[in-house]
Amino acid sequence: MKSEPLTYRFDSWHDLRLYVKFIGIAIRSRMQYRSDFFFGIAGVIVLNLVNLSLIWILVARFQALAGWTFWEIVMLYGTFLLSHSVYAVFFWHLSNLEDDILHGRFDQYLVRPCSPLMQFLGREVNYMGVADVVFAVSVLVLAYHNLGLNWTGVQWGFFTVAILSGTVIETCIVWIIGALAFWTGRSRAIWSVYLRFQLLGQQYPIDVFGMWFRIFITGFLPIAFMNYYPLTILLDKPNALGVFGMGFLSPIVALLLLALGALVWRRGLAGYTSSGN
Amino acid sequence: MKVLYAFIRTAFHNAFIYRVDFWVRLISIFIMMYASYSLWTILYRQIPDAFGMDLETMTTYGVLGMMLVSFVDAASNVSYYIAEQVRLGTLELDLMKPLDFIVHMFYRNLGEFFLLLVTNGLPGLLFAYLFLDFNPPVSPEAGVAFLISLFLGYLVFFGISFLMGMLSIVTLDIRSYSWVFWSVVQFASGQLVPIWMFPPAFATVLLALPFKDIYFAPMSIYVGAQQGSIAEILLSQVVWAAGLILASWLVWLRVQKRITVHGG
Repeated sequence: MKSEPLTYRFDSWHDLRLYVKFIGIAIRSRMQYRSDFFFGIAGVIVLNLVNLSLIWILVARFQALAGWTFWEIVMLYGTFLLSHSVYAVFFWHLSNLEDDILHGRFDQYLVRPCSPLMQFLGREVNYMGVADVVFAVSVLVLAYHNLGLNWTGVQWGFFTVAILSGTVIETCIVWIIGALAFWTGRSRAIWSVYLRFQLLGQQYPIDVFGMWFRIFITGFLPIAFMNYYPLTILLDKPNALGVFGMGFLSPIVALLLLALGALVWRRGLAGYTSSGN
Repeated sequence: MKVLYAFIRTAFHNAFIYRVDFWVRLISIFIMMYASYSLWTILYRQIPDAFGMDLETMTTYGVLGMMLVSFVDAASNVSYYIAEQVRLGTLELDLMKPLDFIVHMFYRNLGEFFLLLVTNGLPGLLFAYLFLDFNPPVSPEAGVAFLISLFLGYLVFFGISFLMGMLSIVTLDIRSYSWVFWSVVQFASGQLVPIWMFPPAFATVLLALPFKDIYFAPMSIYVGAQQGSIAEILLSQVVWAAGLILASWLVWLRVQKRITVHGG
């Protein structure tokens, strides 16, 4: 292990307080751009309506997708979106990490007495995530009623844990992909590839894909743990791998990814050399 | 032509610097093609011969869509490129080049298109033939028409993408909306779900828009399920491509004036 490149000492309490301050500043600076805000909201609504209509068309043509009815798929979609929205508000710019590294702008975080990660994360908030929350909650309420569900407190508790795990899973995947730029200099392509997988995992029960794909988004790129596996438990459906209780693993997968993310990040930071100017 | 060659060479050169990138892209294309293949296989198990189309035609359509997106999507890079230059304030460097801006953007993009065609499209094609029951075009004529239509589709996409890029100069930071843009194109172009599956009212609207000319036109010709005659489809593509590129040029002339004023 290389020595720390800076004199900065890790102090989580200090860093967290600064992070909250940064976020406050980011929100205020975002408020300056009103028209951007409305375009953002409109964009999110268009995006989600487009996705849902595509599902609706397929379900209308084929009755159900591998045993999943329209409202069950809407539930799948909404669950993903709710997890995603928390990520979208606070961590969306992790996908731009590559830019900072590639253009040598990352250096600025290294010369200030605060954790580089906190500085980076605190730099921006993304209000489009707020539209995601509203949209996700609306479709979840609709799906819940149309499916005639009546969850107990325990089930709601599990749902909450699943949502939070989902946020951690998505954030960590994007974080790790972004941190790869420390070595490869570029990670945008990997990220956009990830987005395409994510879109499939968000919209379709993974039963509609072949076994190799199911294994891929379970074990390698574990987005199926964000919505699919927890919902197979909550909706009492068989899961595509036929292994009982996969949904209970979501929090564990989230923690593993968090540990992996921290490891990759530390390694990347320790070996970071500026791309220079 | 020499300029175009230079841009193609640069695109290849850049691609070979980032090798991890290359492999990740390639493998993900294979996985997406496989995903599409298995999606239609499983759906057809529920309703065999839906829409009078046999399973192999349908999986060919699905796999082809995933293969094409791997290189035709190069066109969408124009809007990202312009947005990025605007954000960094380096657009004027492009304006100083001794080459008309649209022509410059086109050559640069065409270089990427060919690069991705060779590095993603062709391996994808091979993979499809070997593992995914991929059909050849319905007839030799359809094959030729497909290639022409594919290139026209790329031109249409280039025009739309360039106009999006102009939007980033005039008003907003489109980088955050790129994902919305991508989804709309995927939906309205029939790249994922063919337009003949859409409810009639929907389909009528989509057939009146230019997006169908990007993917649906070449793909439906390839599998022999085109709506109307091949000549009509190609004509529609030519008209849209010419119209959009002309619009791009006009918008660019106006925008350019604005930039000069701000320049100082």
